[in-house]
Amino acid sequence: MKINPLYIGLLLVVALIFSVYQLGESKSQLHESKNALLKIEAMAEEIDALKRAWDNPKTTTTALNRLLKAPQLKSANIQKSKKRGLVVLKSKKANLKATNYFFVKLFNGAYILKKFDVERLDDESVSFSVEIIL
Amino acid sequence: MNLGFRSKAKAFFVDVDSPAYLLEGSVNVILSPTMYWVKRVTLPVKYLREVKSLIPSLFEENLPEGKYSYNAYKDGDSFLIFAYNDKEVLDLLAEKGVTSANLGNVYLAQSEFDTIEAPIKIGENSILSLQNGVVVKLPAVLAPDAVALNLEEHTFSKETIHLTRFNQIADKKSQIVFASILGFLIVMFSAEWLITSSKVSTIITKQGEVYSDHNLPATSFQNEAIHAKLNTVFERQSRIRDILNLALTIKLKPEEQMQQVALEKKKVVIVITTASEKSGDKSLAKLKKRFKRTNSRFDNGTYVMEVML
Repeated sequence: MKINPLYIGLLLVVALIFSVYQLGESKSQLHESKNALLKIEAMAEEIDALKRAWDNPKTTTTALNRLLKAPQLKSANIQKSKKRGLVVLKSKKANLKATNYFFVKLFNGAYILKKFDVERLDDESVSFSVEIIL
Repeated sequence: MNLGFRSKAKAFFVDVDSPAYLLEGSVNVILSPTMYWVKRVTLPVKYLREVKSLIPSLFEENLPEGKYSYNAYKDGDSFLIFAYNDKEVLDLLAEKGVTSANLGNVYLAQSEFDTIEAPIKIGENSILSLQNGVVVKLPAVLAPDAVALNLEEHTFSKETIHLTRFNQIADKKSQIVFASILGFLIVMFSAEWLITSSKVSTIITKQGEVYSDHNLPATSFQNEAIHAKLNTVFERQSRIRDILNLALTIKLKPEEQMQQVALEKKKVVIVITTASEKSGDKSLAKLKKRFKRTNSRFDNGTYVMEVML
């Protein structure tokens, strides 16, 4: 049986359209996958950085202990206690210089502050309590 | 001319002098000798395909200008070779009421009537006769005793021909070139498609590796949740620091004093002693301007501003 060349031509054209369509689809899939990979890499880097800063109890504890040992804070007599993933720091009376030193260090570090309360006692001293999440 | 005659016949003899028909369904067509050229040739070749490749040169100088299709079959020790103009045949068939939709198999009179014992009458003035083994159309006067054409009981041979208008548009060589180009493009695009697909697979594998390299859970869903949680912590802590940074750098009036700064679950509270609500408002205006969501109250010389987190 002889096949009409027109049918063969049509078949080839259909096959060409199909392969062009598939190529287009897979090119756009490739583009999407590349974008997704970049997004995933960026997200992974960001999670890493965020984890290092905000989800590192060991580093937080070490840094806090080092801060509390600072001679500038000796006069503040800061009491440290722990309860369920929290560190509570309290001072019944601290001078303004020590308080300033303490809070500057706290705010500049990556400590997760849950609560704090700083209350003026008189012109020279304050009392404070701080809760830090580990 | 269309006589409006309805034929239920499955076979249909077509000659230039045939009447036109209104046809229903598919019909087989037998072409009159006037619609093709035939030659009997004896060639020192064994296979039909070898003969077919020689047909154009065997008909050279015999055919009028035009594009022809060729056919051949073996008949005894010799070969019968045929040439026909697809377009002319198709145009004539259309004129006689046979459209592409009706057209079944197409036969040549040569293959269908090469065993007739007596001439066949195909019209008022014409007959089909066998002359030296070749079926020819002759005037009816040459055989007054010719029998009428009856295709009701006709048994068809296996020698069909194929009609296509495509041959008129492009010759065989052009068709092959066209098909080759299309084939090449198909192969090229398909190969690129396969390569691209494999690149996609590689990238998808890499996506999984990124998570394991960073010691993260395997799914995007879990990682997005971790990312969102850490980001919330970061944003909350940044906002707390921004609020306090501004609150503690505000210059208060000499008679005013910061009394309390507190961080609660959803807000930062700043308390100052001041003369009036208006004066407290003025002193902490910067906070109100920058951090929109604020509440304030004044009570007994104390101005309280709450900045929402």
